[in-house]
Amino acid sequence: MKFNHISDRELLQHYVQGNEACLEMLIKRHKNKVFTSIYLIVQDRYIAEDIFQETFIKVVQVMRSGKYKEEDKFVPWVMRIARNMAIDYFRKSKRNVMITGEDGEDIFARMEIAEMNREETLISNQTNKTVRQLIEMLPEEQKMVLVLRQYAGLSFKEIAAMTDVSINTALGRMRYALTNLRKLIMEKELNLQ
Amino acid sequence: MSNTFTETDILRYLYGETTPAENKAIAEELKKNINLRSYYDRMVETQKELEKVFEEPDPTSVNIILEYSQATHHDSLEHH
Repeated sequence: MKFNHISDRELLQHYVQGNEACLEMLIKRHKNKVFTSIYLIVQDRYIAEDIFQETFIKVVQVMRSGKYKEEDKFVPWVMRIARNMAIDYFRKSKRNVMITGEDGEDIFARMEIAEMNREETLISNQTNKTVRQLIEMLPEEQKMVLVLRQYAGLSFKEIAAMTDVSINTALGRMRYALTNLRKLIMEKELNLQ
Repeated sequence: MSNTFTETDILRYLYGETTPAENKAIAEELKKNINLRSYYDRMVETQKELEKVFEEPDPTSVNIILEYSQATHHDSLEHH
């Protein structure tokens, strides 16, 4: 079976019918965008690995139970699970997290993650690491939209639905996120080449 | 269609969420609106920086998921 031309929906159908290879193809197809998104949300590789595993194990469980109904929207569904897993993690952990969420605002409103020396990390020559650090400096609601749009590949409409805000709010947060990120880059005088 | 585009419209354009008609109109607007063009260029540059961030899970994580799936698959077959 040639997998490259098969849609996510078809792969899911074949997987439910017992073709295990289809799950492997689905994971290979989406693992990097899902993992990068989780990593940027939790900012810890080991936690990200755990949440990544738990997310796809949940996917398997739901598929086996026949409860999956969003056949055309695999990645948004996976990211919704991953985001909930991340929220659960922060609730259970000793990290100080305030989750408001009543009005859909600031789900990860405040996370007091272990003190990190930002100055030290910013002088790193590793662009990947540096940009990750800058993303971490964004207000949580902006960071979430940025991660879901830029890395998970969700549309603004899908992000709005996932975070219980209007599309205009999601777009506004993205606009502020990119503008703030740009400012941070300029302030730190990073080499943009 | 109005040719007064906002920064939000430019974001939708940047992420491929505008219609073909909007694409055409925005491309035209960017040729003559210096401020909008400047904003667009800054956002493209920022987006390029973001594209440098790339992470992948450890192969062990993927194997754990696949092994779980195979184990539960066999279990589900045994129960039927």
